[in-house]
Amino acid sequence: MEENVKEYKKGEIIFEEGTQQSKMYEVAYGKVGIYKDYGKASEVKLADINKGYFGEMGFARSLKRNATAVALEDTGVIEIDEKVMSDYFEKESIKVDILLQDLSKRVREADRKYVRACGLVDQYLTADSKGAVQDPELIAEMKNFVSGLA
Amino acid sequence: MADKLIDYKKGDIISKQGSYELWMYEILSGTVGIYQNYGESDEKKIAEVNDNYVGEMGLISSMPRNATIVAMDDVLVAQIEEQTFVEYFREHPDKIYSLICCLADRLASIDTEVQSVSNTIKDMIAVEEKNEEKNGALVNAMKKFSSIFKSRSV
Repeated sequence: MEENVKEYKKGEIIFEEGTQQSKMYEVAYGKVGIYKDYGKASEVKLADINKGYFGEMGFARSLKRNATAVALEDTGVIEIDEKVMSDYFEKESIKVDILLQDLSKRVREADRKYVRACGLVDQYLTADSKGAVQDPELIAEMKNFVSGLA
Repeated sequence: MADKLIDYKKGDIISKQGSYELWMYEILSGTVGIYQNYGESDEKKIAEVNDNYVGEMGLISSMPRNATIVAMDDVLVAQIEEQTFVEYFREHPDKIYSLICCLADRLASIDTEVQSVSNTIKDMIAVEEKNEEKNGALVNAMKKFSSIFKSRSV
């Protein structure tokens, strides 16, 4: 497979927040900036990526991109979509394995977080139903949880 | 062949909650049900799946299964084991894409749930601090997450 390296000049947008494409990217050279609200007053840079893959959540069909990817300098990326995935896997099975491990680790972590949060709600409700005053430590934990996410 | 094909009849248990299996299943035909606390008084059906993969966590992590997988009708699965994982996908490279989509979809949906419970917790904090009455919608949300917690604590 001829690796299809797509080139971007500094400042060019690779993908835009709010759009949906079922593809991910691997950095061949250069550097990519990931931004929330790119170009707006509220713009926040989330990450710099100069190697490895990004945009893998493009494969979640229900989601739109939650950030914009911009070339920070002359950059080349390999686009990986359904058509090239088989070839890519054959050439780079270790990289695909890493991606799978990463996605499933994130699923497990999100699930743990979810169950923990539901546990906090359950504790609160249990105290409420007994007419008890809420434990300030529980409230503190609830605040920590929420601020950990924001 | 890197996959082991297994037939199940309706009602057969394919995989038990709490077990430590290091493989996943591709559903080739039929439908499976995913249950929490299967066979117990608080049994809860979480989902029905008739295509793609189930139990992929078994392959990718060493955590015990968090649900029981039951055949809802005649089911044929390919059992994909850790040692044969790479081999299986070498033989069926087109399936890698659907596994990645499956995991990405799963992550997206859990992230949405996490956001949802987080919003409820924010509302609970606000109401607690202002010492206000909780409205019906908030109470329902709290009950929902509380019962999810109960169903998930093994």
